[in-house]
Amino acid sequence: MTECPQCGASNADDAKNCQGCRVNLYWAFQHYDELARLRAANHLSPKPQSASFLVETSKKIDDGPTVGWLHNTIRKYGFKGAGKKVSTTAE
Amino acid sequence: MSMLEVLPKMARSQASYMLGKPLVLPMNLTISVSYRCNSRCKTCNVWQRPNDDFTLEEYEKTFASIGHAAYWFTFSGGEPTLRKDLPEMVELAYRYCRPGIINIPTNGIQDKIIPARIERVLQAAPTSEVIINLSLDGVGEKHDLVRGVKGNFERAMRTYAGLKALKGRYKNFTLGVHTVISNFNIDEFDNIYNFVHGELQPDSFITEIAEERVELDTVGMGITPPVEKYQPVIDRLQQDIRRSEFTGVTRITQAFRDRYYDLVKRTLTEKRQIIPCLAGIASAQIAPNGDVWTCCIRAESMGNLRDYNYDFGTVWRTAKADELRRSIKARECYCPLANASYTNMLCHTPTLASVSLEVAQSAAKTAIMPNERGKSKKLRALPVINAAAEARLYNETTTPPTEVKA
Repeated sequence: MTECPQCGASNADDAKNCQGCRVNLYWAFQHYDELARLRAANHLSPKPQSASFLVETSKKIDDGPTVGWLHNTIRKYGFKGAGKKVSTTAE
Repeated sequence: MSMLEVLPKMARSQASYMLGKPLVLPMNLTISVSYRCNSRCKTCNVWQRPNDDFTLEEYEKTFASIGHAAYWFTFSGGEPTLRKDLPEMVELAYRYCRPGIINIPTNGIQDKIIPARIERVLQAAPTSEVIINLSLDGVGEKHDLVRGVKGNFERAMRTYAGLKALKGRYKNFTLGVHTVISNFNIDEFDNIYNFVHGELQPDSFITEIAEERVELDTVGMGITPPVEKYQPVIDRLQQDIRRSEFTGVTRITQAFRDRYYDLVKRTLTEKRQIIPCLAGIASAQIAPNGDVWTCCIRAESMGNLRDYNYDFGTVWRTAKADELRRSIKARECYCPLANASYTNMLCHTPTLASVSLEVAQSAAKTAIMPNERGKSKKLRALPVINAAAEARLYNETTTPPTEVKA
């Protein structure tokens, strides 16, 4: 199981989005820490309050016809490894 | 297609909204040509979507079914210039739909390819106004960090220079700069603003707030900056608009832009639709695989063109499409999406009346005080130049010949 860096929810190892907060896990393993620091500096809550209609619509794509590719990619590289492979800017 | 042809479409769009049934095809159409992208922006995950792009033949059938309904086309992505057949795609849109405006954003990374590809786009749509917007989310290394590609800024600047060189040859070409303002770059906005106005001097500079979209898979990411920080940025952009003197069509577009910024502020604060949203009536988006969406915020398909023999009108009238329209009309969603907002304002009678009044007042002032407003500095200087020329002429004709010899 994979723990979401943003909300701590437990997710399947090949989950695309966190089942707790909907964040894209692929992205979260690369950028969440930086964004959390920026949100704190901007006096924003650590966890964003996404509009309910977006959360609901986002859930619908979990079982959509086009998610297979990403599941396979995540299975192959893992979240952290995949993030490093695709990012072309070293920080 | 001329702007005048849009007027009856606005009325029919308003009637469609009232009835909850589409009487007209959208006047504003976004074609997402591919999810492929060579950027890795911190504000976007669209590149993770799998590819199942329409072919040229599929676009031809689709555009033929749309005909002259759409006035404003946006070819987006992903990075639209990654498609080698982008000029052919635009040529097909021009042949069948004859749009008044064609808008294409680009990250500018392929600096050796993009200017030539855009030149072919300009040639493919000679009577459409072609707007190319270069993405700029920072200056120098800051841009590279937000966009996730080392050397992006340098390449984007080379692309910009290549595009600017086309300006003199194509009268239908508007070169713009587009900045997405997020938590990652809002503290850099002054630098971006000064660089754009001082160095790049594009035809237009537009900004959009980073927001959560289903299309980009940014839901739950918290990239939208706080209103308190975004407010001064918008105020500055609005001050610029209000202080500047514009003529002709620019005067109208800037008046709408001023109101768009008002809408953004209120949407972020009040978290509701401020004016009725006509997405799914006056505006729509076609995903790379042929799914038709009301907008990219919700990215919910009303049907796939491949399942309906590429007949846009049939997809437009599905039960799912009506259900999405009902949901939008019931204000079950809200957003500050620029693309849809401009069409919404155009179809919102109070906004349209307010813009018309402002433009009329501005034009009247120009007519009453021609030396004070509404003309460029160059034109205002003309009477002075003429007066000096007259004085020289007078001196030459009245000076005694002897003095001329001396």
